[in-house]
Amino acid sequence: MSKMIPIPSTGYLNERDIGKAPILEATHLGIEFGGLKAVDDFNLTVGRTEIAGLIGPNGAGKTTVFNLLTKVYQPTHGTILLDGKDTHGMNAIQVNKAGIARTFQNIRLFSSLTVEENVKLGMHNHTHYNTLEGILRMPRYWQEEKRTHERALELLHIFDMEHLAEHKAGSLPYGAQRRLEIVRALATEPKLLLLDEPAAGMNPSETEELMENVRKIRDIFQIAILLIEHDMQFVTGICEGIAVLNYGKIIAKGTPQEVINNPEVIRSYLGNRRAIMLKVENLNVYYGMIHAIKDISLEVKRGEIVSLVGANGAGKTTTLQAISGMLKPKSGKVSYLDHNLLATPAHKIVQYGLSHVPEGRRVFAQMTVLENLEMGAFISKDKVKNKNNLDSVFEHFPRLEERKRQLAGTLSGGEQQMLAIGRAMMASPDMLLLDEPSMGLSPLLVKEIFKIIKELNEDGITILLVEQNAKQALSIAKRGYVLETGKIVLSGNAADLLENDAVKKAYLGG
Amino acid sequence: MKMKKKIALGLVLAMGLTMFAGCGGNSGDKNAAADNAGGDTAAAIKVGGTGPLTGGDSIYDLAEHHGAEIAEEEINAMGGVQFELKMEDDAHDAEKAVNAYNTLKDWGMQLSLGSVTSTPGTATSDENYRDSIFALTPSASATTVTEGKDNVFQMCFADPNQGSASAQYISDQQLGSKIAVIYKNDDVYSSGIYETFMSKAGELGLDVVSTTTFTTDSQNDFSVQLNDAKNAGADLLFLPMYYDAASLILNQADAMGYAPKFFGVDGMDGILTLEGFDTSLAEGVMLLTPFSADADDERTQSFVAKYQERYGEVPNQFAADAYDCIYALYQACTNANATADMTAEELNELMKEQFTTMTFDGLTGTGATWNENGQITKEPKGMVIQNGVYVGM
Amino acid sequence: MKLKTMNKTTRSNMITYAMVIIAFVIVQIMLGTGNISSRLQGQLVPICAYIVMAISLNLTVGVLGELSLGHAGFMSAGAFSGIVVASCLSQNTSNEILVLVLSMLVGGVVAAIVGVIVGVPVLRLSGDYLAIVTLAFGEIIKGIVNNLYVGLDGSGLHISLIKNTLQMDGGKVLINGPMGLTGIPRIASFTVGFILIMVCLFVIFNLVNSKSGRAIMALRDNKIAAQSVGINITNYKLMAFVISAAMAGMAGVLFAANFSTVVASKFDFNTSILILVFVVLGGLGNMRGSIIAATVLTVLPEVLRSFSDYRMLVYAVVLIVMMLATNNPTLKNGLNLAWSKIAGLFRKNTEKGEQANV
Repeated sequence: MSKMIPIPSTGYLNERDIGKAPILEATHLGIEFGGLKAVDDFNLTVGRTEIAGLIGPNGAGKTTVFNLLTKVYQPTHGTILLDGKDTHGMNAIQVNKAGIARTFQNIRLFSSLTVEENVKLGMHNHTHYNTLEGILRMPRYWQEEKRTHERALELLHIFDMEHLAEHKAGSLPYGAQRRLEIVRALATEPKLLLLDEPAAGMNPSETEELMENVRKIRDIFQIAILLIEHDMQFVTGICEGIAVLNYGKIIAKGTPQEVINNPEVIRSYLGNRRAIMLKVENLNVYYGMIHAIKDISLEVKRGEIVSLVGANGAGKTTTLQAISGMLKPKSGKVSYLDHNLLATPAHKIVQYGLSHVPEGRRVFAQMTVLENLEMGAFISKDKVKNKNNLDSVFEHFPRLEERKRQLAGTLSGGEQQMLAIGRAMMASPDMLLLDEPSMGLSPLLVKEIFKIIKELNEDGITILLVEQNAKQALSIAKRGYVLETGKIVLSGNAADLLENDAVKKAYLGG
Repeated sequence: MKMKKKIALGLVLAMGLTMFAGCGGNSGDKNAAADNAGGDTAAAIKVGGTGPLTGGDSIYDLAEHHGAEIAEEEINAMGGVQFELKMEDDAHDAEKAVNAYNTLKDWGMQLSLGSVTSTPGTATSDENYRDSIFALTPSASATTVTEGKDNVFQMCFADPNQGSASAQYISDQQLGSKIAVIYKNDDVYSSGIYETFMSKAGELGLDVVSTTTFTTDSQNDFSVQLNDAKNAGADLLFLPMYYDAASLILNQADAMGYAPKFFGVDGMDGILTLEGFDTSLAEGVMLLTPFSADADDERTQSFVAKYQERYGEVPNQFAADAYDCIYALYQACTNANATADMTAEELNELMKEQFTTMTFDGLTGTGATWNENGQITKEPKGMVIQNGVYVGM
Repeated sequence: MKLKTMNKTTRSNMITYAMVIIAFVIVQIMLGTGNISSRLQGQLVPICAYIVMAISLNLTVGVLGELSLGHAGFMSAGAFSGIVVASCLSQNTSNEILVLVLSMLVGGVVAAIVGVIVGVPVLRLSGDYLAIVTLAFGEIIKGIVNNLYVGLDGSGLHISLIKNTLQMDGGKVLINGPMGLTGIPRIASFTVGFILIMVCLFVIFNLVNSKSGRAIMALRDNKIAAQSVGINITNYKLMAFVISAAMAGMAGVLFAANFSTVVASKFDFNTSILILVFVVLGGLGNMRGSIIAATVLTVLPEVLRSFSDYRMLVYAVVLIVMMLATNNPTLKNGLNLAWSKIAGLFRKNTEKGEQANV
């Protein structure tokens, strides 16, 4: 008995799907973690062949929704109808068998197995021989292995990955790992595919290709796809319907056009993309008689990474300290959105959404990792948001979750840096001031930290980055400023600065 | 780079130790050479035995090794039948004992001393039987050691004999009216003696008021067992166990102010030489053992003197058992005109015949005889510890 | 079959089979010509048993990725049940091989049942918790067997946990509490041990390269992802655990049938750890490594007897050096390079041979 939908609750249903039963119908879905509502009264309908998007700021509860749909968490309220059938009481395995497959924000592959084995594992429940037949190598084993082998290559062909079949999944480059996760999910023959930030960490051309492939998958398999993504170009370019989540609740639904013009969505999530967030004008700082910062002006626009590079003692840290109110400048003007920061006490600045991650990490060594993070959420009384923020920190830094009961002082340098950034994120900042995040870290960790900074930015956080490691800092930034003995000597697009001979000579080692 | 250094260091260490160990081995060989200086090495009958050279029961093995060495030297100095002695470590484990036995076989063992302890002894005696290599074990006392094997003999009492002899002794001497027993129920030796003790005690009408057990894993706290005995009003505590657990019982009984008479078996022997044990606690402890270091016969005195001179301690029953083993083998070989060029099988036949017919006088009893099962008949002696030494009762 | 047309795993498995067969043939030749020491000859069956223990534990630790510290417990369960069966059977038949095979099957089944009983509640745990519970399990088995009395007389088997209640009408006591099994029919043979190794290798290799094996390895790599593709975690965990237990049970029978006596305390924590050392040293998930490590580490302490008092010290040092060496990337690369060169030579030769054939 298929259920007809009275009102398409995405606010949009593509023509193909009108008159057909929706594949997914979630009503009044909610979950509480010890009294706090991480997701509340979530309603969403996804059409049979629809590509739908779920967007929202960090900590809004998007991944939690995925976890509810796939029964990683059992919802405390509401119902989920999959293809008209109630999934109440099902576990994660049964839901998968019923037709939901997913990918993960932090990639979860079977990394020690080959690419082909990963895909074959996706086909696990569609491989028809039992253990004994497998051990004794009965004819069915050979037939089925042959069939699944061919099918695996077919599926890998979608992303042109057949040639990687014999490689270990863990050894693949990042983008390929993301694609493999999608292939593995497809191998389970889902009716609904959930993609958690599929484009994260991909470069623009890879993202472009992914868009095409997602459409192709929908067209070939005739399935519905629901995706979480921060890249608005990706979302608006591919999704037919979009729902926006904030504080665990849906604040808007509709077509991409409707959603991006919704005033509440702009206010809480999209913001004015071109607006200047931070503006520093003619800043002068003195240490006693020493003129440390000489008439500096700079600006940071929403959604940018801006790098402030320079040698030791050029005045980078001093500049940041003046911005975040830790130092009193002699003259100048610092404004953040509409606030005059020079007239605001340091603790208030945090409430405006601007967080400073100081140099040398400064974690609370005698507190556990979890306590440190909770300190970061000190100003916020909103438990839902804190819980979601914590989840999001752990998503970005799985290593912190592993060590959440450990004393911060016992962490390695890299982990302390992660903790410092994580702590700042707990205040759900719109903008982060990062002071030398790569200082004293091994090359491998430096790479990882910069990768995470990029991910944070992709999640919508604006970043002003102060670094000695000019090459790395400029390579992830949109724009950059070069500081020399308290003066800005160069500024411009990061890519241009990287190519600039003077910069190369001074900071990039020739 | 760092890794390489570590490896290098490890290898150097290993080499150093190997050389060190090599030296140890060499010096051992030198001793052996010195031992055999009196006789012709080539004409010596090779005698091998296994024992727990390492691990908790090493005290027995060392004592037996020492006792046997003294006997070997004395015999070789006499110029008749010559012996060459070798002991291998079995760590009180059946599997390792068989390995040790096979090592001795590769060495050319012609006569065997079996194993020092019972569990390995059961395993090696089976090998002795299969290979037709005659064995006379000093101290593997379980019946399973000799059962069904016509060429394995014991110098010590078999466990059942110890248990019933203890009951008999306690009854005869009227040592106690209410008896408590603590035994180790995961140990062949201890539970074997316990069983025969109980059945004999039943026969004799002894009043056993408390029976408690312990295992290897629980042998550091005896407060429950001691309280049970105390509450039952026991005035004699029978401890069929090895000395290591017994020392703790003595300690803890002393600490709780409980002072019954203690009665042990031959496994208690060795308690006085246990490192770190306050021997004053053992004052008045009685035990049934066939050997007494303070006996006034000439042989015992000369043995004790030699042993003390060499190893700096009073020999216990195990040293004497091993000493007697070598002498019994010597007597049998001499009687049978055995020579070193005989094969193990030939010696096996001769020895079987000798041991079932001969009478042996040794440190651990005079007029000892063996039955066809390989079990010995000799007179046990009651001993009591006074002023830190054993005194005959 | 052509070596180079096979995929990497199959080729590696074939090399392992070949290694075991070659070792068996060499030993058989040595036995035939009498060129073998009694010591080594005496160790052949225990080596086989330890190899099976190592590869079966490797299934739990290396393939499933769960640490088990009670593997000797399964060996014990198998040994004691299997030998009781062997004792009963050998009264009626004189075919030693038949008795051994049947009793190994019974030992395997009993150990597997114990595996299920332990596995169902325990496998909800993972990591350190699982390790702790398996450790306790090994001790519990030891405790039970230490208090187990089994006797056989004209009217059949008598089982009791208190010796005095064993109502026997003559006959003999098979399991005598702490004194363990005595008078075991010594029916174990090297050939049966070799066959057991081959069978276990066959089962493990074929399992690993099938749907179920992939599912087991998927659990090791990422449980959440495994669930998300519809893999039943508990079932496959239990499957690996029980197969591993059954093999350990069979190894236990083989081991016990080689000695005239076996006591429960033989299969204690130390034995579990010893087997774990074989696995770790040989490499997690690497069956060939387990086989080599089990062999070397079983023979080594006996070979070191010439060091007399220092042998366990030398053994420990050798162990540490081996651990360091096998984990040293420089050395490993060197060995791999050497191996690939040898393999390259071999390949060239076979290619030449093939061309010649054409």
